Amino acid sequence: MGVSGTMARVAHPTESIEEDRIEEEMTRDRAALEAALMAATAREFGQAANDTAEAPAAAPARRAPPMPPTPFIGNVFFLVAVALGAMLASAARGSLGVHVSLGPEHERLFGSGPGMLGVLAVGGVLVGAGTRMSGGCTSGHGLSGCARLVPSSLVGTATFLGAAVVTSLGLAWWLG
Amino acid sequence: MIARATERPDTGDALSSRSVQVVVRSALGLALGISLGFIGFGDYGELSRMFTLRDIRLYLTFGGAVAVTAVGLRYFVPYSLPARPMHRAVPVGAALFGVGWALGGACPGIALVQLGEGTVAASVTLAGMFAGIRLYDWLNARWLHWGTRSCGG
Repeated sequence: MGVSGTMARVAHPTESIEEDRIEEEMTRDRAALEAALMAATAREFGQAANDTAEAPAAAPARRAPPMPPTPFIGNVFFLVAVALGAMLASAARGSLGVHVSLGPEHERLFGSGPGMLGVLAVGGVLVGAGTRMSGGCTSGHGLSGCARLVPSSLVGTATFLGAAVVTSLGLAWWLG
Repeated sequence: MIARATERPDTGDALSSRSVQVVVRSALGLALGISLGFIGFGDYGELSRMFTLRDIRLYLTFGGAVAVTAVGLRYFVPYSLPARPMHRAVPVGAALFGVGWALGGACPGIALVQLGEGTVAASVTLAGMFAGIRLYDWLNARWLHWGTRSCGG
């Protein structure tokens, strides 16, 4: 799971913790898995679907999931660790310190007042909604997807890089 | 109490694999933060020179990272990762993401990097990202019904 996917899990803490609990119960108890599947079937198709279903002749062998989901707290730690890692890197480079804005180039375009913070908020919302909609960001689509030549990731990466280039050239022409 | 604990031999195993995952994820996050911090993706000046096509260094860095990832996934990761099927949500969402990246100077990982480097304003970008995720999920559940959540990760 990439950075935006991790953020999405952290953005919905209640649901994610509930998913973890279900996941844990499933691995612990096959009966719980069966009961959950029956309940889901009844919810989707009505109880009759369960009553008329034939019991399997033999229970299939238990297989390990291809990739176990990371627990919620692991996702939180991941995001915090990215910030901590960057803090270490910037301390090593000697550039660690409190900066109010994103730097002179961003200030030249958007200033350093409330308007600039508004631009950051709008940019953040677009990034959050956009990555959630497209199902990945620079790490998920860009690195992991492109490295495996996944078609939707190649399209996604070309689109977000293209949109960023067009927007930046437009901003430079309009405000620069 | 002790007897009850030993009645469930499965839990210890499941719990230990979960804590291993938490440690691994944290270590991966730390490595990502350190490398992004050294590359300079968090610097808006660098990013803007990349996006206005005045400097191709970050494109080369990105291409190199894709190549390393390809080799790593091919030879060192034993399981296959989910591949998202093509959906119109991919180009639409990616276009919104690109515009937002150019405005706020941060993709999701970079907002965290900027915050770690001491850029206070990045907290606004980060808050916007969490709000944007919840906004899309709400819109999707209510009107769009694009089934991008259930299949393909």
